[in-house]
Amino acid sequence: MANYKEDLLTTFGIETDGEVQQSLQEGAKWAKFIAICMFVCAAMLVIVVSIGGPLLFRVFSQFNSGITALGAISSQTFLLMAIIVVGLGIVVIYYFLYAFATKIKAALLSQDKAVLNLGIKNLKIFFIITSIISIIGLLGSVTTIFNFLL
Amino acid sequence: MENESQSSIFNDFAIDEDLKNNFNDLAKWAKVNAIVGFVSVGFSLLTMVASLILTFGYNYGSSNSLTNVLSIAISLLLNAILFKAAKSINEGTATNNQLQFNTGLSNLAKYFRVLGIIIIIVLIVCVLALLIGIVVGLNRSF
Repeated sequence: MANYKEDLLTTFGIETDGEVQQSLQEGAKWAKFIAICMFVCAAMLVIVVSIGGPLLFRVFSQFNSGITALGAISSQTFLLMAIIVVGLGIVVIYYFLYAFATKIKAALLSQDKAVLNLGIKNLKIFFIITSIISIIGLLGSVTTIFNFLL
Repeated sequence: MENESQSSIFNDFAIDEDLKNNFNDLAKWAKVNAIVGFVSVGFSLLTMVASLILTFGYNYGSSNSLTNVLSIAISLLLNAILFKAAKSINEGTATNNQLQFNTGLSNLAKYFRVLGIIIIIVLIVCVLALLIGIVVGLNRSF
């Protein structure tokens, strides 16, 4: 059993001193914590907006005089929908981080190379999505700054 | 010594191209993420300096500037760790250097650890703010 474990570790390219294994385990532990925190935040965001939506919208419309009473209901629905979409987006993005954490833990326990590959792929997808969102956000900021300057 | 560590540890790793490619891609995207983060920090810094110049002498938004400085510093720290991790993983897999690869993965773990600790601090601050809000609200009502 011990030999089998060592063989698989070598196949991974992981040193038997366990430094890489330890790093992966620690990374997975914190990644899982971060993902769970984000799931809770997304759930709280959706719950708070669903329950206190009308009140939030009243406060929001006080600062935005352009919103008329006629368009208030549709704007309120739009705001609610937008926040639900944001919440779902957070859940989808952090699902990949959560999957990375669980798969890495499972791979280290079972010494399954395919599961390790899947875990790394999930983290890659997480970085791809966050990079794309960051680029879009950055472009938005640049556009806002240029609009302000011109 | 270096050759020995390269050949003994990475021989089998080189065979598993799939895993190597995945680590390479992961490092590539982590690098992109860190670079975009650095550019964002640069823009935030520019915006902050511009707003400071525009509001100079009015003492307007000083607490806002403090928050901005803090968020810029945190973002810089996180992206620096992520960039170092990506660079080391890339170099480690490209040159079959186990030490570099170890450093990369250790930095990646460090990135998640720092991010997790920041989240804990933010949660504590939020809970404290909520408690203070409740206490102040109760005091006002009595």
